[in-house]
Amino acid sequence: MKRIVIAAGLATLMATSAMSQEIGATISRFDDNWLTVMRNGMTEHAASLDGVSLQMEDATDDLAKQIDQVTNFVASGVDAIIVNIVDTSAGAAITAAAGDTPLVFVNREPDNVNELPATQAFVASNEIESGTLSAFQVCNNLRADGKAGGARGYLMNGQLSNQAAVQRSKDVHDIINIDMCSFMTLIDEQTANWSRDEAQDLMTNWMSSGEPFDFVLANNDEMAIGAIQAMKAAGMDMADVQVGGVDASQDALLTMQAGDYDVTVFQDAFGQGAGSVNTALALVAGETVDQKVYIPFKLVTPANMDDFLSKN
Amino acid sequence: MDDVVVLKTENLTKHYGGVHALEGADFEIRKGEHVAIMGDNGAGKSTFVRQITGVEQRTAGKVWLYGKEVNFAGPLDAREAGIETVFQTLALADDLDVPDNLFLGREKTFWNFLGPFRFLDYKGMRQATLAGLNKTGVKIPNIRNSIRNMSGGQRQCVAIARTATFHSRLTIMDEPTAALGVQETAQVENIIKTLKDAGEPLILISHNMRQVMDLVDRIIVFRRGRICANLKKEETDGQDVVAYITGAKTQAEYADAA
Amino acid sequence: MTDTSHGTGGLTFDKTKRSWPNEMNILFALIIIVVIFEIMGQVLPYMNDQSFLFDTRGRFDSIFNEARLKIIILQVAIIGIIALGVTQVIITAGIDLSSGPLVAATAMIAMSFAQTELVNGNPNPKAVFGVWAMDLPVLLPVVVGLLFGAMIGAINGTFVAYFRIPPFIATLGMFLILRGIALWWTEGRPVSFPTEGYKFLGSGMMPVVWFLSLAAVFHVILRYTVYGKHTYAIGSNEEAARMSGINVKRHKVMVYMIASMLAAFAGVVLSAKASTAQAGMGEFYELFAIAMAVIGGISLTGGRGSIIGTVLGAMVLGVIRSGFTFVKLDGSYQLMAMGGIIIAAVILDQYRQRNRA
Repeated sequence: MKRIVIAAGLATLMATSAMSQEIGATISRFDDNWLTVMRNGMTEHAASLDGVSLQMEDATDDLAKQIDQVTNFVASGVDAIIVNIVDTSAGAAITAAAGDTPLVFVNREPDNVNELPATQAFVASNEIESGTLSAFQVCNNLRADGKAGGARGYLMNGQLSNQAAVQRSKDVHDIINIDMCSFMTLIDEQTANWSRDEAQDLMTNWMSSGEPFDFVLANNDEMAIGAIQAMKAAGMDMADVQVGGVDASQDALLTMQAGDYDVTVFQDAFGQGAGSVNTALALVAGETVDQKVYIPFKLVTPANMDDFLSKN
Repeated sequence: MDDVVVLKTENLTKHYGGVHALEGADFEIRKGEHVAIMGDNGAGKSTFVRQITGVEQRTAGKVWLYGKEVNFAGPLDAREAGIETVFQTLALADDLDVPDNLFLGREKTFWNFLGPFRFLDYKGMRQATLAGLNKTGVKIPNIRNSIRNMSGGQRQCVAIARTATFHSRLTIMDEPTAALGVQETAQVENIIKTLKDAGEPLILISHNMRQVMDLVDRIIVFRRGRICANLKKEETDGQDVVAYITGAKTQAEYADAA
Repeated sequence: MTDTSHGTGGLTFDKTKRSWPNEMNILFALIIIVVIFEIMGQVLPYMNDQSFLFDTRGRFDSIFNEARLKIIILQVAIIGIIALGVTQVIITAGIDLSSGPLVAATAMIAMSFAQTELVNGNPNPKAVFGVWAMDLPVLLPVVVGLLFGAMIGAINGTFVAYFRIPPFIATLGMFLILRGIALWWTEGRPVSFPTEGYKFLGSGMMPVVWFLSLAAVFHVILRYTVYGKHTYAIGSNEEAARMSGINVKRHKVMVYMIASMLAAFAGVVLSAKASTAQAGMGEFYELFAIAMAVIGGISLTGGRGSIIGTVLGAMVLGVIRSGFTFVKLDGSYQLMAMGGIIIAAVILDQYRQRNRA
């Protein structure tokens, strides 16, 4: 009798410790097309696993709030934390706030990525690739269109406080500086804050000066789509202009299908989300993990866009 | 002076919980009469006015207006019955002009089917305003300027002109010149005299003895919630009235107020 | 004629003379700003003698750069619609801080009923509801949006008028609630791919058409109707309005409802223009709308202000925005400059008030 009770007790104990891994996640902002897909990736993947519960918080672009959220997670004793950091220069603060709790940085690369403690890791894509792939393809397209003699265009930035925006724009500048693409010049560069309607107004403003141009590069699809809408409203033929962006969102791919959009880059939002959950669980289980996991970007053009239609 | 009784109250009483602010007031005013209500602070003057203008509901007593018993549910009812009140704190909107202020709340309109969006009959209101100002002898250089820049006296005159524009049957003024300077007070008193000439009845609440003796026919004195004197101007003087106010004297009929 | 005026010191009547309208000053400011940008276009070395307002390249029939004129007003038209409503609220000595998120929430909700079933032959990947909500007549999502706005406005107005909560607090709370609603509606996923009919509402110069027609309507309402007069009265002296028999509480609720319905309509037009609805839309719109009213000469203490002033204020902001892009000014400077101009406008207005009295 006693043995059965002890056995039953042990079994229950084992069951409870094997049950409910709790993960706390804080996302830089909820109202972003791409980040929402990543968020859904995390949620769905966690739901598909047994005994994993995921709590999601919105940091609303507020770093202080995010640090508080991490501290709260630690206080409530979660097994692991996933952070989509608001400000990439604040990596050390987040790392410190997490203490000994396993933590995974996702999508945005914190500045302390090379000094992460053994309990922390980073899952993302390398933003150097995104802007580069997009701009380089546009450069090639312009050459193919016979514009190697000289091409002028515009660059639309995302939110200037955002590292991805800064990096992608830097990528564009780097590309324009290499010999192969130095025929490209930027007339102007302004921010449209990732927003489609702001990009519409910005593009219309640019066009009102009457300057001829050959390309428009944008840090994300939403702004590229806004620019396209404005150009079409002004009666331009999209075959005359090369437009490139980043994200490969549903809206973007459908615009590409319609023949208006030329280049975008697929960032596997779902994959990053699911990957971050897996890495977090691995850290909890004490497995050895790669501390930096880069999920590659993929160039998307009309040639291969069908492959990506269902992804984002 | 007419014999028509404009307003009559019998046993008008108001209690605020345990506080007997007004007790058993019997009051009468006839057509063409100007009556002053005087008394110390808290004696019940303003309370009395609030009851007869419908701002508050009386605890007990009856009120008759031109012989008909009345029960005002709110100040609007009193206004509609023809009682116009001019307050010490002016009920005027600074940014609106004279016709706007005069007609506030009872604008002349057309296309009334539009409900709240019915159109204002500016021309009609201007004409009526000019007529009303004329009647009370008020001179305003430009009635289309906002009243913000008018002197206190002019504004008070505008408030009084409101009564003339709307053919009031009884005008009540609560300390109309308390906030005004000498010249402006003179302006307002001139208007009051115009009203007297026109035979309009007036109840004037005032602390200003000189003003009261200049303008009115009768003086009612309140003390501690009750009327303690009903004096004809010719039969009294300043010192006498003060004696009633302070309680040194009480008229025989009101002995129970002592 | 015997003077029966009892000596009030007669002065003559002058029935028709009115004082210099405030709006002329804003018009002057507008012209000066345009001239400044024009000069910058000529003087700044990197500008290569471009003209801000005039058509130097012979692209248009008139002497003006029509494309520029259009974008100046187009980019402020949607916020302008909101400004028409907030002007009325401020005239009653209130304020409405909830319009920005209301734009986003209404956009999300209305757009959900405006989606089209097939996109490029494929089913709509962003469908919120089932097929029953697809390809509906465009009037439906618009009405849904307006009803939502009316409801929010009624809540705002009730809190302000009946519960006596300061408008700043009540509408700030609503600001947060609406942000939440916008995020909750589709869990942050944008709603896209509307019907052609819906898109038309925001296409081309339609936002300007809406803005100017609504401005005309409300100009007439504020100046020539009882509702307008009472709005000014309540802002000027609420006690006087109440004593004059105006139902101040009910009127305030009406004013907030109208303001929110205008903001909701702005949300509909914005989502139609962008062919998408996102939870983060309308950021800072409530502040820019208030700025337009302030530049237009409104007094935040109530009782003064006009639709014409607000429209001019919108134009000033439009010229500034366009001008900044014209001279290629950095985004962060643009925000700083906007703030500075608004403060300057208020100071100027106060200075003028003091000189008038």
